[in-house]
Amino acid sequence: MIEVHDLTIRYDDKAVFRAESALFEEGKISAVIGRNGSGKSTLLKALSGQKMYSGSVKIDGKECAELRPMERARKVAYLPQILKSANMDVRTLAEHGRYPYHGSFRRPTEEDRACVEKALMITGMKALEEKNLGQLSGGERQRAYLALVIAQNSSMILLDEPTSFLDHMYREDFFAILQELKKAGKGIVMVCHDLEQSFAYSDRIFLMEDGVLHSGMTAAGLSGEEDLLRRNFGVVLKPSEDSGSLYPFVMKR
Amino acid sequence: MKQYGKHMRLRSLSFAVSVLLAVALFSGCGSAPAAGDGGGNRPSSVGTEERVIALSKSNAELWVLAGGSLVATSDDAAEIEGLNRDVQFLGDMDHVSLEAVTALDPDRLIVFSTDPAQKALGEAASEIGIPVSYTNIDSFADYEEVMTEFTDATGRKDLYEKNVSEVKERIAQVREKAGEGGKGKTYLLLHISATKSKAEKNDYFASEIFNDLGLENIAADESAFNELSMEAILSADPDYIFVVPRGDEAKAIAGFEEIFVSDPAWNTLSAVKNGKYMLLSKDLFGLKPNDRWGEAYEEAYRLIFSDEEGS
Amino acid sequence: MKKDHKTKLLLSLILVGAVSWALFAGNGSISPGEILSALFGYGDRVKKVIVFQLRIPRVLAASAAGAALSVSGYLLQKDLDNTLASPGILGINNGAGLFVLLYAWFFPYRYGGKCIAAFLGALLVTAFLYLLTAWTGMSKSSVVLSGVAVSALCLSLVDVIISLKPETVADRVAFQIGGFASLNISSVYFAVPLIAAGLVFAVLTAPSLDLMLLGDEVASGLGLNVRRQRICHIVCAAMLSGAAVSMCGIVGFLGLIVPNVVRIFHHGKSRGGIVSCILLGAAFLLICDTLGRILVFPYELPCGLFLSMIGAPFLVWMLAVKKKRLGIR
Repeated sequence: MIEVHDLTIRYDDKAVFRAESALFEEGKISAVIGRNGSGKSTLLKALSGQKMYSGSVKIDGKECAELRPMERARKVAYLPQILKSANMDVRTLAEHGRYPYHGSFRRPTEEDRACVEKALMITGMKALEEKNLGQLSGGERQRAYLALVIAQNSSMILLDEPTSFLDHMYREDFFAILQELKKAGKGIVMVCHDLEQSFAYSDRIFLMEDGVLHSGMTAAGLSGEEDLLRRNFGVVLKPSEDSGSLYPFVMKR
Repeated sequence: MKQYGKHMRLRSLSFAVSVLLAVALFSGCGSAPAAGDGGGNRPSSVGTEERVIALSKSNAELWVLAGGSLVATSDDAAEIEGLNRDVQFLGDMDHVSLEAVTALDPDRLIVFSTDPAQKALGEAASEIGIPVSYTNIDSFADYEEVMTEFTDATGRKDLYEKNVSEVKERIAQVREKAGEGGKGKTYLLLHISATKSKAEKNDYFASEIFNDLGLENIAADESAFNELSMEAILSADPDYIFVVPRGDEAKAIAGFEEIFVSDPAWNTLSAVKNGKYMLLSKDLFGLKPNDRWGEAYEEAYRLIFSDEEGS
Repeated sequence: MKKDHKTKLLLSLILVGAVSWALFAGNGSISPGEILSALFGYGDRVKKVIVFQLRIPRVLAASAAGAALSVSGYLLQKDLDNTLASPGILGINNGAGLFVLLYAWFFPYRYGGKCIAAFLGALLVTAFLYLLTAWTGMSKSSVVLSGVAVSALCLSLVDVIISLKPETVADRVAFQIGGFASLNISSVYFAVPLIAAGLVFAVLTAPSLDLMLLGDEVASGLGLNVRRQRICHIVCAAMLSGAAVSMCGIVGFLGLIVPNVVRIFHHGKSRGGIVSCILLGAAFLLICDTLGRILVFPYELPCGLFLSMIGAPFLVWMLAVKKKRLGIR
């Protein structure tokens, strides 16, 4: 669980981001949506302790900035948008997810091995575990990196635009994996460009507008914020014909 | 699991090798100095020295002049008279293998203190307990000092008499004969080789000889002569120009003539016009003359004063 | 995995072979049999001196320097994310060499500080390049080119010092090419423990190198203090090459060749890569040195000569053929 209170992030003495309060829970998928440059990635970096901030970001009740990096990494996993293709195989990549547990000096334990195994199974990368990252397609690489953060076995997983380089089918696969993680009790926070999928798969939607985070709402809750949606994305919400749940509908200008 | 066990064996094996290497690294540094202490700088008592290695012709000659015998020397010393028949040659004087030196178990190693390669060899040798003597002869006084040490070691006072005291006496005679005759005359001493010529200052042993005879070295503290140029020579216009060839004599002279003598200005120099441009013998003025130091003084005297006596 | 361990076993055997060869290689003054008996404490004093105070320190120095330069190259390549980086090419060795000479100029006969001076020189060049990269965000090839420029500058200053003060260096050629002929035992005592410490540090912290391969953001997301680690590694690389240079002069190319050869057969984690670098680098320099020692006995060829003969074509080959695979932009 990550609690945010009076959070301000500065860049060159200029406040680029503010949030009064927000709560990212376990067992839920939270989507952060907003226009380019609205500060979504900055938020994830602050939540994972990679950006200086003022105010409070509490991870399981402890102030994020006060946690030691390895301890923090056991609670929060973070995956940036750009993923490098390094010269290593998939299994080795996933094994790095256990770094916060054994560090540089201890040998991996049985538990470490089990977590890596599980992460490879969940992401379906078991069959490709000996492949070099350079040999993988974009979607496969994305899943390989997802195996890394799953092996990290943290209660919260932060993903920065995890699907932006994937085609539609890969995205569906990817969200299926996220659903499974959610069922296992993980809290997922993702920055997402795809409004449709954000609405379809997430439990909470956080809208960012000009560096201000609006607190999380359900899809239904957002239906009252039509102005906001239209302003930022040019969409309106309509109930889908088969399930009755709301999804964004692009308006012609 | 079987597979895994094999990994572990291989892994522990390579680990063991690394550990061994690390242990070897550490123990090597620990034990080596202890072994070195035994050798120390053993005091050299009179008459007991037998196994001496002198590197370079000049050093070998000094030791032989002091009545010592050599077990080994460098290749350039081959022509020295009085070497024992079984002497070993260790190659070029600047590239002698410390292992070859150590294998001969010397009681004394003689090297130049001014030659960087020899100095380094000397330092490395003394670290492993080989006593080292450094020589640096720039003047007759230096020669006297080294010979005192060496004849003390060999116990040959008679040779000190013959090779130092008598030589000193000859020098005194020449200086007396010269008196004030050379006063007011200037000279330029050039060390020439096929590629580069250099004006010698007063730290060169042959300059000292001419200075002793009353002449004045125009290059003594004149920075203009650091890079020898025709202009510098012309403006100083010395009374004498002495030239000592280095390396191959014919090539050295040819090289010098091509650059300087062929210059029309050369013939305007008073030294040249008066026939005071003279080639010096390499044996006496190029290399340290050691026991022939007296001869060098006599030769210098002859060159400077001969035609005055004749006229 | 399995293949990896076999390679390491093979490398260990090669090193053991190289060590034995260097130890026993005959040159007339002492026979292998005499060396063996001296090793076990028999034989006369001279043979023992040769074995314990000449051969073994030299084997130690050559293998330690080989391992140090190789690992230094490996660390730099990973840290700067550039396979062309090496202590030789970036001018770190020349920087160390320059400071060794400066030290010899101002404090002759004190070998202890030589190692520290070399370390400072290496560190100065490395820090300069690191900051240059960090501030200007220049491309990989620009970093290498700036390294080449710094290298040339240091080398010309080395030339100036040797011309002005020839007594600072025993053998100009050996110092500039790199070799152990005028090896000073005191410098071995200072440099070898420093190298051992550096190697242990590199092996222990190797996993962080793997994390950094994934990019700074992923690495720090995994709880690694990326900046601190990177600086530690760069300091370690500078220390290793500085200590090596204080013993054997400016040995080039080793830090480039060995890590890249290791890269060809080793695709796993960095710890294995570093161990391979240690084993291969030590064996390689030892073989070069032994060759130089026995080929033209009683003369010696500086081992850097062999390295340059192998290294220069290797560099050209890397640039020409492997351009794409090595990701040089």
